[in-house]
Amino acid sequence: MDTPRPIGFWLKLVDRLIDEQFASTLEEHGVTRRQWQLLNVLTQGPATVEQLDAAVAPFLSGATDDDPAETSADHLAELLDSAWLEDTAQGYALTDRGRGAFERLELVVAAQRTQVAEGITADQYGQAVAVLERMARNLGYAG
Amino acid sequence: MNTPNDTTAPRPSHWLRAIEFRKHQLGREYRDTLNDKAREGISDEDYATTMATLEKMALNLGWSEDDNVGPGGRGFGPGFGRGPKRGFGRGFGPGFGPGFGHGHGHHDHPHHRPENAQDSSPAAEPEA
Repeated sequence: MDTPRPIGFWLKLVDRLIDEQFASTLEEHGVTRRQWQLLNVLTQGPATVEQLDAAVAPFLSGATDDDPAETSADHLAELLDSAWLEDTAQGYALTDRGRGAFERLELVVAAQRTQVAEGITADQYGQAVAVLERMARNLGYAG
Repeated sequence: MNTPNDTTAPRPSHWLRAIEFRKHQLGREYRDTLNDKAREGISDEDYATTMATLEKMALNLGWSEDDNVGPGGRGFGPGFGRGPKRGFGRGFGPGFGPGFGHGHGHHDHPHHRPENAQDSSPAAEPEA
């Protein structure tokens, strides 16, 4: 490869590959990536739909001519039905069952992340993450 | 005034091409501007490390130079870029079926989604 590929190529490619691998892994365990993300946020404590929306804002689709904007609420029903979450006065909260399921999922996800980062030093990884954050903020991301 | 039979005036296709050409040019200029803006304050060395790290991650995730597929997953033949498919009865895989600690079958996982449900989420998780 004589001409280096632009960073946009790698960003898009890695994003897609991680997305696919996550989707596949989580699907085996019966949750979507968005549900995983919401569970992740809720491990910090109960949260309202608005708070959850803010926490996962970069991942939610905007409104289109045909569909309204995606919200976290779209992804909570199954978690409530499965008693992984409960609706409390403080917002949605993890139940013991949900916490246990999350912890088991976390092990699977951690193994996957280890595999993705194989051969990359902690310094290189940290530097790359810092650069990506800087780029996002340079482009106006304020989250 | 132009008429369809005027042989000297440019045809609509001329202007259609001109519009497409300018759209392409403007898109390119816009992308270049955005790229410059994104790189502000980032050293060449850090930028190179980031590119190399992303490439290594892609390789770890099974990508190869030989993959005949663009970064967005649109390839030139079957077998590239699987889409997420849900609602096909999985969810009883390792970890959450009976015997993994809860044993309540359906109620131990929330996988009852409708057909065609899509998840287009990007890469990183919102880590706390």
